[in-house]
Amino acid sequence: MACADLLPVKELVQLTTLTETEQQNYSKLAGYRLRMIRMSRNTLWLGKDHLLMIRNHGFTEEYKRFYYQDIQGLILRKTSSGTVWMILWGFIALVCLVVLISQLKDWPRILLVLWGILTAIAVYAFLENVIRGGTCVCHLRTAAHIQELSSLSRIRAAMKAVAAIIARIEHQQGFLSPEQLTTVPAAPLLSAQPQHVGSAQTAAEYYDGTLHIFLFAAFISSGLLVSLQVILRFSAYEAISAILNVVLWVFMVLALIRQRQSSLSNSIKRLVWYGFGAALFSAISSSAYGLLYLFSPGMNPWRVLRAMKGYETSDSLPWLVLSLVVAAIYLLLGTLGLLRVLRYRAELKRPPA
Amino acid sequence: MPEAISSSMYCTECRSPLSPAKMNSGNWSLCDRCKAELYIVAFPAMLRPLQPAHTGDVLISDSESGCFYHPQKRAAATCEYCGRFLCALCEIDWNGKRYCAGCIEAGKTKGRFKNLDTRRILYDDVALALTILPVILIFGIYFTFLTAPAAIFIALRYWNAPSSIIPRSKARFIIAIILAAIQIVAWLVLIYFLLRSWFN
Repeated sequence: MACADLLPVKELVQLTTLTETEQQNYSKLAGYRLRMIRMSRNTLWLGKDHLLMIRNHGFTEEYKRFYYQDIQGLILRKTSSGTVWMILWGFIALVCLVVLISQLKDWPRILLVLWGILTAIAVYAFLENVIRGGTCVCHLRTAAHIQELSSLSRIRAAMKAVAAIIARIEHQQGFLSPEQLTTVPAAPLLSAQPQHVGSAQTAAEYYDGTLHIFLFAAFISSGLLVSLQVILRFSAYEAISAILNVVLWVFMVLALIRQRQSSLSNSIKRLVWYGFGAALFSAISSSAYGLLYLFSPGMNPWRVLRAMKGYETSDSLPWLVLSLVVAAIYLLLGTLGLLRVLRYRAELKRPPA
Repeated sequence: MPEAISSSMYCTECRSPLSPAKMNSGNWSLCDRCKAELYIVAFPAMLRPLQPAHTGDVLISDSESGCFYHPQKRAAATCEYCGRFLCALCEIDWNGKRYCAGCIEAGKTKGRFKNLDTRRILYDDVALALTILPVILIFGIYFTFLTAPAAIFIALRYWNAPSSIIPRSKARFIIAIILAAIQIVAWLVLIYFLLRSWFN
């Protein structure tokens, strides 16, 4: 007779409750990732019998548990986003440094301090990117679904974390020998249509990416327009730029709505979010610069009018630098995005192998 | 009938199947289709056959026990929480123990099963934010006469409420109470001086 059979039902219930609610000891795995757009922070914790993923939204936490017994595999994929960010931050840091050095004697002290802070942020972001190394995406597979472990986004940290997870899983499941691996039957081919991996609950909707083509085309046009203005300085610039900006924001909002739960690849979705950040940066920085310019000494209504028409501001070095940075980011994002959407559309049309 | 393999590995970029030769090699390998660089680790769970679904066996004789929820079906297990008899369809094998759906649901709602928690509100962070954010925001400082008492109320009301699943101290609650108390005292002092100057 088992011990449990000797206990009255009430005590058995209390015993079970106690076992379930006993404190789990978790140890934190290396790496975390701030998702600025969703305002959340993801962390990964090793438990006694499961891996715990915590998504912190500020005032709430969401938990996902993956029992070591159920994990079928881990897949890490190298990505180029780290290199892209490194180039971007490096470029911005370099431009900021050049402007700061060239304007050391001319600018007022307060502007120098503000610009210095901006430069320091850019240099820090660049160095942090260099030190943390290459980027990757890590996916965990169970029989039920595939989950992206977004806190493991740097190769070095991810490899350390994966080694710790492997040790726990192999302690529970054992080791898969090369002989056993040969018995794995060939996997059936899935549809050539790329599918959103990350959540099993939400089925990806079919979407051919038309809106995204318009959006990335708008980015390229805007980038080209700014570059042309720097070189040619034509009078219709402000009007065309305003119209193009409205078009860009409309397509941005539509694309962000449409891409949710769509079959688009994650890399394209991320590019749209980067574009959103770049457009926001452009809007905020140009407004801030415009305000500084309008309240600078010696301004009169005539000069304000000239500035609004884009003649006078184009002559100042910081404005030129800002324009060139925005143009470079827009052109880079637009070209990358357009290429990826075209590749995605080609994948859709390709018949399954 | 051959047992079904639960699943196989696919490239996370292009969703094409991955060759077993690339798994557990300890090196990065290229996807045959999209040439993405992948590091693949597979575990024995991949080869575990999928468990066939049980609907429960029908009772044959009166001497057998029936399921609490389906009296016409034979009991295969007892719920480890409430002790009810369960057929193969009703038993839920969770964490090495067997429960009925009702107990799992009740345990989740009442917070008895810690491992079923999927979301928690961090009241200590809420209280702390109520004391700090209005001070940081330029015009928010005028609202501290409302937010400071609210922060103290939340800190005291939810002092014993379950916080993050990861153990954390009560430091946030304590800091929130101290800051809120300072803000309330500051308001009282301000009101006192305003009233005094008004009456004088």
